[in-house]
Amino acid sequence: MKIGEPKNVALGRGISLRRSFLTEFADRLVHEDMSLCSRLDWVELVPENYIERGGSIRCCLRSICERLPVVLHSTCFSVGSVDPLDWKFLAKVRTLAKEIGALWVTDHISYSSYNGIQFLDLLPLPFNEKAVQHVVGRVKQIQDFFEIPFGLENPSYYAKMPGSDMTEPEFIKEIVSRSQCGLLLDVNNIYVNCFNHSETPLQDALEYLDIVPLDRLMEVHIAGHTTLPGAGQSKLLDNHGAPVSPPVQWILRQLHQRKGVSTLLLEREQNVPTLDEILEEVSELWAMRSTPLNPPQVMIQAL
Amino acid sequence: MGNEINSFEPTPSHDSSALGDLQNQMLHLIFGSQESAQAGLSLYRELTRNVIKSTLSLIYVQTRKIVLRSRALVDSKKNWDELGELYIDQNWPSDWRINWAVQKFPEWLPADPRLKELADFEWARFLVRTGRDPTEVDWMNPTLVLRSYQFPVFKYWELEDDDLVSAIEQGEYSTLRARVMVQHQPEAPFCLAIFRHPVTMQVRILEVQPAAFELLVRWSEGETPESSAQWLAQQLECSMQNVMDQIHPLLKILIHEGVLLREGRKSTRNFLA
Repeated sequence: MKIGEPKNVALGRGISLRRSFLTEFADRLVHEDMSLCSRLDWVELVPENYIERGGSIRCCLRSICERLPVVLHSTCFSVGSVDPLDWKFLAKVRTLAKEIGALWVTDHISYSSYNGIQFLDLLPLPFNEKAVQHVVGRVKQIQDFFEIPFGLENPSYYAKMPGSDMTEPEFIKEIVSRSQCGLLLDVNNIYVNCFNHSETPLQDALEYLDIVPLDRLMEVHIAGHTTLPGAGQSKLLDNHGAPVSPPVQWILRQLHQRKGVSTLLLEREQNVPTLDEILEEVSELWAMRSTPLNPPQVMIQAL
Repeated sequence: MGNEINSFEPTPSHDSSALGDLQNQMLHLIFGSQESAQAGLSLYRELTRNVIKSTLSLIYVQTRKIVLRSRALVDSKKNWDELGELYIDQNWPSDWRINWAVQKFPEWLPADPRLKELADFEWARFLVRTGRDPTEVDWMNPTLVLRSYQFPVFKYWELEDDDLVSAIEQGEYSTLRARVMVQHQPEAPFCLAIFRHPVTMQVRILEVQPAAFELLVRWSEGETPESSAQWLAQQLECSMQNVMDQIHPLLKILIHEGVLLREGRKSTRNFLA
């Protein structure tokens, strides 16, 4: 499937492939299990889990990529780091992308390394012009390097960096607009960030959607979150470890009304349920995204 | 909401920009001894460290079991979580692959040598499980990992908890099914070829004689059977023909077992002709 601008592509319902059900997934796909094929349209892989990896995992990967559209979603490009881009790593991702026919590759507006040390997490950037310029410059290098479209995701963050003089959505807008990369919008991260850093999370979430460049939207992520241990009800953690909450579902519907969500991915990385439960949830989310927008009573006050 | 980094004295960074200074600050907050009282920042320290400690537990399963049950084998008498924290303090990860953040654990582990070898064996198994598939140019199995140990950790690796601890502590084990005394022979180290079978994809362990082990090491470093045969002939002070007569069947066995993939190089084909 040759692809031009991914924002014009409608992939449908997707899930993030997990090791815990990889073998089962490949097996059911190969045998054209309708309970799987009727509830799923595409998959997303984290390239770091598959680069130079052989054995049964490679076999499963091949089986899957021969039958379903696949995109790559990395956490290690470290787009915002002041370290040089890791071209050896990027070359391996590019090789994998070619091998499996990935439609596009994405990462996050963050950094995961500094001075050669890996944080194994996504750290926030200050929301300011300097950071925008830095990220845009690196994104353009990445775009030139990959022969498929590249997109950036809005990450969750738990501490606002000093020197920030923009809002988060403004920051994202500047980066995506100037670099002309794709926008991977994570609606759970929108809610987690608005909840953690604002007194009016749902109102801010609506403003968020009004500011970010939806004309560059290529993919939507949705996931669950949890409350930070020991923090009572005051902070949320984006751990991809629970079913999608009602406020996040509501934001999805708001987004669908504004732009139309045609490529939706459910992420579940912690407390992973059965494959069938994940398929059921993504199907439900897909169906409900176009339902009426009246928020549940409990949320109206939060607005 | 009080989650900002307050003014600080930037520590020297390799990038003099404000962005570099900030990233340098985060580096030390996460990996250094300086912790932050601010909830948002301390969370990043916790998240990163939890990832590494989880990876330690996932890869060093048996080692962890022993530490949990018998801290006597650990020099510092620290528990597993404390060991993890100390390991992170002293081994900042430099590889984008999460699992490789714990590569140095066996070497670093301040513990009884048997426990260190057990940890190393678990790392070797991880390498084998995740190694790349062979390509057309490979003549040796690319997943092959060669290890020589002073202790037969591979023989009691799959024991249940009590037997495992007993075996590590006393060098012997017993089960309800069989009583086996493991004799430690320091002058004859246990030489292992650990690999993923190219067809069944199962992890296999082949115990080999020291001379064969040395040949495998040399071949994995790029030597050919011919050049290594010359070396071996010198070591054994015997003729090349004598050595070739030994290597010939060895190559066949190794191909049959899956350690070698094919006749391989021209020189190998000459040997097997």
